[in-house]
Amino acid sequence: MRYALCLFLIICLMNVFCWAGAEDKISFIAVTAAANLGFQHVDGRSGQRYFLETVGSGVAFFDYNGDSLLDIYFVNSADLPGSHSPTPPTNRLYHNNGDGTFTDVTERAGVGDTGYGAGCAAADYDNDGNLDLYVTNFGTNVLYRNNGDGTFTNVTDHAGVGDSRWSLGCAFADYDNDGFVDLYVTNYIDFDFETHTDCTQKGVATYCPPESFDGSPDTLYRNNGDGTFTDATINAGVYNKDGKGMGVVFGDYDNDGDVDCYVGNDAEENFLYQNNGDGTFTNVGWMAGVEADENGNVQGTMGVDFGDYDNDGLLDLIAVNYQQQANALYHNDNGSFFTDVSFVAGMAESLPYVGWGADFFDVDNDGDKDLLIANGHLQDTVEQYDDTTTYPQHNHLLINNGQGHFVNASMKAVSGLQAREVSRGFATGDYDNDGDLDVLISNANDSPQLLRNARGNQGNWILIRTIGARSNRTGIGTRVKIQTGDLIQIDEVRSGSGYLSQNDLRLHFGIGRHKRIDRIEVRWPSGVVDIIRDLAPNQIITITEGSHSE
Amino acid sequence: MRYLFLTVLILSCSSFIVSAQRSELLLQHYRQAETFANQQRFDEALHEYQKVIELDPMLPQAYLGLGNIYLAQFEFDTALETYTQAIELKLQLPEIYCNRGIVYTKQGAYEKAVADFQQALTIDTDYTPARFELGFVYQQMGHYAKAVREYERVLPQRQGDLALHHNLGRCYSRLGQVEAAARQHEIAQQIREFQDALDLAQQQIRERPDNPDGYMALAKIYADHNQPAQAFEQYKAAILKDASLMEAYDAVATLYIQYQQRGKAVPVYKTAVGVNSEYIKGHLMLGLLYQRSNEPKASEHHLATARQLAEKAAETTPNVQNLNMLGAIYLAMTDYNRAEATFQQALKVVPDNKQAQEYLHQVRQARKSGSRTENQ
Repeated sequence: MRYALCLFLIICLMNVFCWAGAEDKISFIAVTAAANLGFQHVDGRSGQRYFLETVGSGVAFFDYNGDSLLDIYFVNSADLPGSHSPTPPTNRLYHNNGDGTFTDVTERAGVGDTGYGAGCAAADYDNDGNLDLYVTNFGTNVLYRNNGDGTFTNVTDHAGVGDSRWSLGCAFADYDNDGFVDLYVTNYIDFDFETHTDCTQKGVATYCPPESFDGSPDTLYRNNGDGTFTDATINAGVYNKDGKGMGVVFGDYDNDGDVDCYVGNDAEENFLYQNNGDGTFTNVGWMAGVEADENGNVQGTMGVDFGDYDNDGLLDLIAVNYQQQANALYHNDNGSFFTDVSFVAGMAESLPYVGWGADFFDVDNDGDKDLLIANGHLQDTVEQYDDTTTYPQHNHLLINNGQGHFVNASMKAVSGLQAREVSRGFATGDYDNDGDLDVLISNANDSPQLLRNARGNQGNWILIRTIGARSNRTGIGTRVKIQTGDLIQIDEVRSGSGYLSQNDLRLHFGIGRHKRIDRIEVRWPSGVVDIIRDLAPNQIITITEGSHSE
Repeated sequence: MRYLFLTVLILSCSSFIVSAQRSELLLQHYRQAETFANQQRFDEALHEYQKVIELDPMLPQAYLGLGNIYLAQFEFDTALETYTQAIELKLQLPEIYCNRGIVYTKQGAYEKAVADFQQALTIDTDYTPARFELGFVYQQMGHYAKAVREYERVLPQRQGDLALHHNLGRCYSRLGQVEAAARQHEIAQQIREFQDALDLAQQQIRERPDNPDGYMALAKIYADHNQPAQAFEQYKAAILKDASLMEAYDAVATLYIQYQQRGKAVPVYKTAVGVNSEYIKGHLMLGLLYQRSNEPKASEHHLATARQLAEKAAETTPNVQNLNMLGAIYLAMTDYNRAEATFQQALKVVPDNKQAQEYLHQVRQARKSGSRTENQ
């Protein structure tokens, strides 16, 4: 009996030490320069403090040429009245050479938009097998159709998706399950250079708050299946004049087989559009409990993401917010209602920070989703009137302890995240195909950071690429459930999430020490279910719709 | 023996003096700490509370204050420790149990939170913060009916509380009471709109503290939301910034009239016309108010002055505002012909001017009731 007790204590202590060491296993190495990523974000600031300058931009990890290596797209802003760059700021596409370096192929590919860019999302909208690219702007947005030969064609006018308002977020998903991805675009505020005014805080010049501007309604484009789109905003029930949309993410939070949509608004209620299954949505944000914080205060929400952080088979939500507003973690209780667990989960640490990018991802391959939050104040003068915060800020890597709590590991062992930056959008993806997720961060008016995950693959893993047949070709919206022993995880293929960015479209699952994957269940938007059993980990697999149906 | 007695006496006196000085010092630090805490100068408040504890480590109120600072800064572990110290020093205040309960809630220790809120309510059954928090922790635990019961008990004391209406709505929603949930959501939205408007006006005041516009905006928001005391305060602040701001006097007097205190409106308009003798509306209103209080001479005097000024203004600038003002004065003087002609002239300038149409209707009504009186 005494022996058993001792053994039990030893096991407990081992668990404690194993956990204590988990953060030390995480290491990101900044490889931006070594990777030849010479991109520089330019926000066009000239001292006028146009509100445009504050929002920064997003990035994309996507494989534009089908060589199974993630390439990189950076969205850039542009010169504004009073600013003059030597060469016009341009969006940039970098081709992954497969050896840790990238080559700028913007001009050849024809994707160097020079508009005042913000967000991007990738998807195969015409189901031709090549990933296309949508870019949001202050001004007309751009849709680039991938020609399949390393070049793109600007098809915005033909497709009818050139929303000319100030758009920020964008995401593709097949909301009507017709086999073609549709497109949701968030529009932010009604900004006009003519009516621009200055603001101050304690006598210090600042950007005016979002409350000073009228909101701009978002747009939902329905894909007609012939290369064109129709504005379905009103018919689909997502017209909302009060929105000041920033981040947008699709996910099936109610497990009914169709994609729902969550929109983060700045200083307005966030929207949760529940898909009614008939081509329309209902905003159930306030009913479900994800529109405001626990005190009823609306937040300045920037980035949003769906992810099942507690592995209960339901997608939870993260919404990252402005300073003095804790990042909101909403636990999905039953597919209908959420509980705000921000404080219990350890989000209070975010209070001095202004959060932008957000992503649920398993950084250490231990089988539960961690969180990365990109931070950076929007007021470049904040330190002159507020001694509780700073303009550049630390990004936060929050490690999931598997018990509903997240621990900030940014400063402990994560070398590449220790610098303070003015970060905005970021993407996660395995650009070196080594089984762990790397990070690409866009910093406002600065160079980006490519952070290689150096030790994440100490845990076992699998990367899954989906190819739709009846469903949309990229398999966007596909739900994958992976079972390894008693560990069951879910995730969905998403185009556009976090803050204005595109993550790796392949689904990554860490499975810790499990040596086999017992079962992979793939539920396609069409309703087709594929099941793969008994699979070895540590490989990249492609699953085609219908190839493993039972 | 006598020597010993004297020594004891001297020592007692000096100890008393030292103790008195210590108490005085302690009180100073305590007050300073509270002031800093109220001003949200947390670091300074923390420093002062720590000094208080150095002087008297057994003073539970200092631990309470300190705990509140930690709670405000979301340092939950330290706040918990500090509140517990205060409780161990036998401080039986509902606030301390309530605040420790809040910390437990934030940490997810819901059962402990419930116990603390219930203890706070045992000490003072009417302590609404604890009852609200008890509702909230029940909500977090998924006990929505219990949460609603506590929230509804708090509701009469906390009308207009955003968090209460918001969470009540969320609980109704969970209980499937959709209409009740929608109603609470609507109230929460209204409260937020009110608060947003206040924030904007307050920001305007912070940015331009010497400009009366921000105070006027703030006052109007309060007036529109039936908070006359706050509205008066802000209108007065606007007048202090600009004593010639006639619209501020008018707003104050209008509020008095709205709240059935006509007598108080008179000195306000008198002050206004004292500052600006050509303030037409001031004279008109004084004329009407004196009419009501049966002071015909004073009334005639102000109406005559108003008429003279308004005729001149309408002659110089015959816009709809000046014409409507002149017409209103004629109406007040029961000169219906001139009033009608003036409003018709105003309607020629702006054909769909609602105010002129309304006045014209009033003239016709007054004529009718006048002729009925004559016939009778």
